[in-house]
Amino acid sequence: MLKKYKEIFEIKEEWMLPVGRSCIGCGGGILTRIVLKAVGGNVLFTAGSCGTNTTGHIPIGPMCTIPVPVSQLGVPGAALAGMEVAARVKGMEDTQILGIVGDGDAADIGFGTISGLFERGHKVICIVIDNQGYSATGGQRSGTTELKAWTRSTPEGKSRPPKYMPLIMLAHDAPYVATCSVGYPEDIFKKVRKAMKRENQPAYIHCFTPCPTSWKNEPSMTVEVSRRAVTCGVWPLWEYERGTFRRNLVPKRQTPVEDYLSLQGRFKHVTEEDIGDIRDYIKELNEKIDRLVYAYSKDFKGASRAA
Amino acid sequence: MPNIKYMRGNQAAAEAARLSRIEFMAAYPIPPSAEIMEAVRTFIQDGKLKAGFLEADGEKSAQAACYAAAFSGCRSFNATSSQGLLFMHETLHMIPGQRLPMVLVVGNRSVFSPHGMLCDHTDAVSQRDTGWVQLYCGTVQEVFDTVIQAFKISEDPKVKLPVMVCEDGYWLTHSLECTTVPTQEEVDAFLPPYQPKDYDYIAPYGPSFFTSLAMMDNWFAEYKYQELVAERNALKVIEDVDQEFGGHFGRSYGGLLDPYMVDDAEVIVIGMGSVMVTARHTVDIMRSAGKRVGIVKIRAFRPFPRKRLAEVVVGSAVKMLVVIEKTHVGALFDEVRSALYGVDNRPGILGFGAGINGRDVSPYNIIDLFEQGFKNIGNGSLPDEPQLYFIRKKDSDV
Repeated sequence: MLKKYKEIFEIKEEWMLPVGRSCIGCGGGILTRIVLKAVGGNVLFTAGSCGTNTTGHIPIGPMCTIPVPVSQLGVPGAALAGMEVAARVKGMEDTQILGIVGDGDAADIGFGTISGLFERGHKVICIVIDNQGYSATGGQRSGTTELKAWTRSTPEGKSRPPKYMPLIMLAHDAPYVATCSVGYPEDIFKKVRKAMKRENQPAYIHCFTPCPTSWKNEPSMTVEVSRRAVTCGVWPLWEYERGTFRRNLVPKRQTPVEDYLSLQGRFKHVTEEDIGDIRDYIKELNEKIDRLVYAYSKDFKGASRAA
Repeated sequence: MPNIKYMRGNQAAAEAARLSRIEFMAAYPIPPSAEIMEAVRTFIQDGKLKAGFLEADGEKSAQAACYAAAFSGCRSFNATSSQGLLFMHETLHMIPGQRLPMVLVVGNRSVFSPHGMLCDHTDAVSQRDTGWVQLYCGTVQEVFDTVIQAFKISEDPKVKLPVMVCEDGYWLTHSLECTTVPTQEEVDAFLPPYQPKDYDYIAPYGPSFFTSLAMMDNWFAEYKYQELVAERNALKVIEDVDQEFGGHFGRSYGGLLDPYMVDDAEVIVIGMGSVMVTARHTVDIMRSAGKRVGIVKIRAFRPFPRKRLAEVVVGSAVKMLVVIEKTHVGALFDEVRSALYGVDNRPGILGFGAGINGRDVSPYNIIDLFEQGFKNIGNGSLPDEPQLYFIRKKDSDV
């Protein structure tokens, strides 16, 4: 089990104000609050997509007490890179540059910019709110939508498995890559704190964040869905830190995938056959992660080590 | 002794950016303006310039990074052309909306399709509604001077809008010309290093609210109103800055537009860019033959100097205006007709798309265009659409 982080409860500052306009039960809102608590005040922050709702409205005012220049969809990495270079020019070396990016923005339309950001190696923390679809526009299919999930643009259920972004970013030679889930806030807190170390940047954290509006789950069940996603294996928690690759939470007993699916309206239509496909996907994904854990372990005797 | 260097338009733009003490450049290479980013990067490498530089992954990214840097209080600079300018279109709209100053040099080049490579103004004029100030240059020296002026215009508290400096692809970007380069002290005296007010940029613990949703009570319209006010202020600021520049360096370009020999002219050619330098030369030739001709070189296409153009026309004896532009879309033709709509006894207006995709417009062509103007004086049924000049036509075309 994860060690509970007491620190998260000791921080009294709230950088997200309670007037935020996110939907009821928004996983992204929970994530943003925890992340900002972990990073603290010395931060420049961009948010796109649903972030526009959670961070401010004209003329109501800001809903977040740190600077949020919202970039338009499609250039999250470029806006972060520009802020980072500009902060260095302005002598603000100790300021953290933080981006909270939607999954469609990071994995589809703005993927080139995120890829460029990591290739150039800017000192930024890039956190993806993965609600597995274009939720700000009502919930259409994105590259990260889960296998068989209903969306407004895939009424029969998505036929392809999601694009697994964390491993793509691992291939960018990023010093820190992690996955997390809003069901485990202490895990998010710990990972953001690791990402804040300069030698760990650019850091990529991909967070599983349920969206009751497009997933059709009960808003009160957001945290439960995120926990079951981890325990059933569809969203394994792992982190890669400079040559070490480890799983953060291996469930003692893998829970049935049906428990996870049944909480969400977007899987209402699935047949037994579909559930079988989802199980195969989970098996393959977890094997892939296990192989990576082994490949980065001391026991591994690869061709490169033989020499 | 002035320091005269033999340089291309791209080198002049980069050198002017260096002397303007830019703090940030993000760029993506595209001909014919790619040399600017190379030159700026070399300045940084050689220690001649202290600035942040970003090799972006696309023009849209480059412009988004400039947007973020301008937000962070940096004097930002970018250069692009043609398809690159179109690719950054969405981000171009963002910058005037937030009233951020920056300068973008455009090496004007034709837009696909077919795959054109040479000078054409279609790329920049297609961005006329983005809210950017657009200045068109005629010579390499003017490119150099306009880049320095552009930062001053852009950062003026009454304007605070981004400025696009347009240089003709290849005709200016790659043409060598003797250019007077001022010293750093001279430029600093005209354009001090950028010091934004504390509410102009973001910083940790600072103001926290930018580019947010504007839905309630339709405040969006008020943002756009302020943008329009700034655009109108720019009309005066462009003239003032040009005049002030003249006081410092002894060179000025007429501010919004540059009329030449218009007072007693019967036919006036109106245009933008390097073709007007040829036209000016042609006017001298035709004047020596006793022809009453003149030109108006439009320098600011956005905001368009409607009032100023009307004043020039009303004060002259002109009977026919010939608009020439390096694009097939008739953008300048529309603007000129619109600007002169309310003028009493307005002259006839003929429009020509000439020099499209680098096609040469020689003094002979310009004499021909003037002659067409003279021929059409008193013609009551002028075409109300721009025509393409010097085109291979088929007999079957109507």
